[in-house]
Amino acid sequence: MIRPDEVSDDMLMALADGELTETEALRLHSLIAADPALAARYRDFAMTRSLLQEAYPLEPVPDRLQRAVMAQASNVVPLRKAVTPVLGWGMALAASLVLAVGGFVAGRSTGPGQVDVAVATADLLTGTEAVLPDGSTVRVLGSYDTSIGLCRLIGQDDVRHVICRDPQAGGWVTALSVDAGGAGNFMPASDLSVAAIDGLLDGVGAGPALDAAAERAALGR
Amino acid sequence: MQKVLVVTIDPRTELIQLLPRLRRFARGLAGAADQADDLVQASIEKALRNMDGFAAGSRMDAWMFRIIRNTWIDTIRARRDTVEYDTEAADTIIGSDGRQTTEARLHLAEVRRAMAALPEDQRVVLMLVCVEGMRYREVAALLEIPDGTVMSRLSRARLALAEKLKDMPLRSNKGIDR
Repeated sequence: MIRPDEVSDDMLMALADGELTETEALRLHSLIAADPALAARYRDFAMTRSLLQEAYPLEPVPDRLQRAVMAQASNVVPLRKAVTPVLGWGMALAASLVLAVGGFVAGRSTGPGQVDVAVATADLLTGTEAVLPDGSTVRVLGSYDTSIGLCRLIGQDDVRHVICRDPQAGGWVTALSVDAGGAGNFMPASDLSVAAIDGLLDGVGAGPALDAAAERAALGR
Repeated sequence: MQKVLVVTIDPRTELIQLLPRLRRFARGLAGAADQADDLVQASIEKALRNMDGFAAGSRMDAWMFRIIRNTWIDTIRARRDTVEYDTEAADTIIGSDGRQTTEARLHLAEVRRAMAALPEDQRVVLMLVCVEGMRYREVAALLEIPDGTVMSRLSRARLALAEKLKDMPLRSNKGIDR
């Protein structure tokens, strides 16, 4: 068992940065809880991380940068398909877009006879799970009030769907489906999927995830 | 009820999706927002010219962060004669946030100012690890330096930052007290 005076700055920093194994982290946390001096040293590392995250938020991107990306089309590999729907976050995206990230083929979620994830989870609150007839497990990860209405983040095995209520059609549209990176994927725990989901949610002005009461009310239960 | 359109991801689509993060990273290096945007734009142009150098299936975020960092270093080198560049950048931040006088805004501007006073290599690792949430080994691979160097830079930067922020009058802001 390690003694408090043997705990190095590197260990405390690694703890603050989530670099330790669960066992190591638990052990170190219990030492910190029992030792104010150690707690003060740890706080420096944890505080700097959280302050920096607050000081550098993700912000709306000026048009000129998007134009810079879309310019010079002749110099880069040709587009396989029109990508303009991605340009405008919000309704254009919510209008339905499945991004096949990397090698992900959206066969299961788009093929004929698919199980409608939105319908299957319509009665489920955040944190609850269900097994669908196709054998996949769905889990509601969050519900958000957004500028285009209620949106929900649903996990279906390794795939993450963002579905948004479509008041006109009276149902749900899939705004985004990305492979979150499970076994066999070349990108471990794909940052891209996280960025895509965050980008979408930020783009439609999603607030913090709804609590159970607000979610129940939003779902009309 | 689901309407579905499948789009195969294109490098530029991925680049568009990365823009908010690229801007944030550039802000950490360049300080002022307009300089950060210039940096991102120059980096995008460089990336589009060198798309052949991007290995399909590899991480575009890491690739772009490297381009932004290298572009920024070139910019600094080109401005060698401009003394105390960081201090200027820091002043610009405070100036640009002058309108927003809430405590929290002021406080976070001070965090950015403290950040701007740190050496370049420390700011890079701080942004990649603390803000981007990258793992040490990922940052080491991106910067082509040993893991141990990432940790020592990061540790020095954190302690220097904590020291600078201790000098600030303690505010009721949630950031400093937790």
